[in-house]
Amino acid sequence: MKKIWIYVVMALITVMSAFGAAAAPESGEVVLAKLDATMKAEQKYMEQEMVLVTASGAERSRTVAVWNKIVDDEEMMLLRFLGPANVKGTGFLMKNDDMWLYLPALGKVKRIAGSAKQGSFMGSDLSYEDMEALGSKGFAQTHQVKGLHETKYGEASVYQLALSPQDGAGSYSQLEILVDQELYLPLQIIYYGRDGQALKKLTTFDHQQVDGRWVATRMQMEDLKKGSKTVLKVNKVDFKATIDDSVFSTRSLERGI
Amino acid sequence: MKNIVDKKWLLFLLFSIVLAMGLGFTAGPAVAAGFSAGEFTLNAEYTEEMEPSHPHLTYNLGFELQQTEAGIGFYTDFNLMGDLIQDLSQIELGEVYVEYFGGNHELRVGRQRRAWGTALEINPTDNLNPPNPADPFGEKAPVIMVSGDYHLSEAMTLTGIVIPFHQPAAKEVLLSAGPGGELVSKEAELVADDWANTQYALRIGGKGVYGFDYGLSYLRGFEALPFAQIKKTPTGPVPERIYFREYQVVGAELATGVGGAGLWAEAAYFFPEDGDDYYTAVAGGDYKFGNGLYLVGQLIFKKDRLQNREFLVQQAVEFPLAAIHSLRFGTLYNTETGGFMLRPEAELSLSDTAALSLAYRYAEGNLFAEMSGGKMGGNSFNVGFSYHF
Repeated sequence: MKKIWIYVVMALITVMSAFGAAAAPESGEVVLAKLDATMKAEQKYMEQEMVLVTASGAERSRTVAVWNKIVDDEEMMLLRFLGPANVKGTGFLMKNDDMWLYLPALGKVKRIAGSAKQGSFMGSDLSYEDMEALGSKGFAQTHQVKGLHETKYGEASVYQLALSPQDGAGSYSQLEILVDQELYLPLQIIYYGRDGQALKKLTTFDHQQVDGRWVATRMQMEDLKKGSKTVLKVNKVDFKATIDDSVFSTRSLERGI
Repeated sequence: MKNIVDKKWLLFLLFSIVLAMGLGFTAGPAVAAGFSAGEFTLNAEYTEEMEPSHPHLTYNLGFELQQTEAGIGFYTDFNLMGDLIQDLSQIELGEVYVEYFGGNHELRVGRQRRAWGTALEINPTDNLNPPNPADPFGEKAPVIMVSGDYHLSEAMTLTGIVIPFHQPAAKEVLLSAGPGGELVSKEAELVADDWANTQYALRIGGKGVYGFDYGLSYLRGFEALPFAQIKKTPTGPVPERIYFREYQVVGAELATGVGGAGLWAEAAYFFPEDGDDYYTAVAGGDYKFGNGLYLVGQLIFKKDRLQNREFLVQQAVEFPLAAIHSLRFGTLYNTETGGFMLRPEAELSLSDTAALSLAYRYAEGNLFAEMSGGKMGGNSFNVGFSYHF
């Protein structure tokens, strides 16, 4: 009889262990890899509306076309302003650490200082660094996981992922990302400054499936200190577009692709 | 508006089209794109030293048209401008050109601007278009030229330019004459429209080559400003000949980034047919802070056509205001002459397409020995409204 009880207890432990293993939370590194895999695309073309809202409520709207591609681990982005009229034709090219700007009024391509990466991207609340991470670079290449736990964000079950820059580089000391457990998309990112204070908050909305991939078609970046915000609305996204490497050249920038 | 249409120009046009179409170059992607755009500006300027002293109220209505289809493009811009107080209006033609996009090359024929150089505002290697003597930092005038770019690789480009007619920046010089040293305007001999006077330029440039942008250029042409050849006589120096000297220009430019800062250097050495050589060299850098503060500065070292040595320091600070407006404070100081200029500016965004700009300029002494008589003295205040459509 004693033996039977021992068998029963062992069986229960085995079954419970099995269930326990299935429900065990994923490691932070795995969540980060899945997040990057969802956001990163080998190549994509996107048209976005960028609405800048100042602290006083004034709004300025811009439309941009963005080409992204990863070639031999090199991140490339070409951006062109489609409107309004006063910025139309302005172009921006980023190839890893090199950046160039084309202003139609100047009629030539100008190299931009690397320090501009920390600053505002075309007057928005996003920096070049933010655009790069959200566009195609992702976070795993430049950040390491500092903490992970599960929580709720509205109705959604999320992983709360704390990241810090790998070599102390960049403008932020820490990122806190809420990752949807089903879609592996970021629902919210809080960016912390060197002083540990929250600087900016990115919130994503209207998640849709495009070409078999989940995409946030609306994002809002708030500057928590200034009170301004930038809303990015995706009007068009194409992951299947064939983008030639030659698109990411200063020639395309000048020619107006 | 000046119209230059003669046999030489038509021959150039014909030659260029035959060159583009007939050499069997690979055509570029058959894409169609086009736009038309415009800008209306209203400017009020008060300049203390100029007469009449009341504010000048000027307007400018500019239009741009561009169309590209199957590798062939067309571009033009023109302005209707005038003075509302003096009731004067004129139409000014800007750039007008056709262009051909090949697989690895572009060819552009017509009245156009080509800008060379990595430095800020003062580009010694940029001698293709004549500057505005009244505004050395302003837009240069378009000239008739044939320009071609051949892309040796994604990063390297070979550019060739032919300018059939010489277009001067000014046709007269101011010379002191008489015992009182009064300034007298003297007209210069123009460069004859002759095949032998065709100007040409070559440039090889690279972008992002091991983290550097560079360019090497050569120009054979005529100076944009007239030169007065002075003869010494017992009664004093007298101008023997006022003309545009033939010259050759060799230029080099470089831009890179170090530790987040942008750095550039640009220099040109001028070899006139008559007289002594001269040069201009510029070196500068810029840095943008996380809060949007942008600092830029550069040093200009030159020996001008009259062999004056000048050393200038130029700097500017820019700062965004409430995300959509901007403030800028620029200075220029000539260490040799003591001449300086202060220029605070503000641009206020009124809507997506409308802006208000406010600029104040204070200048004292000789900023440049040659351009605009060197003097841009006094106070001036400018208020401008612009609307893009």
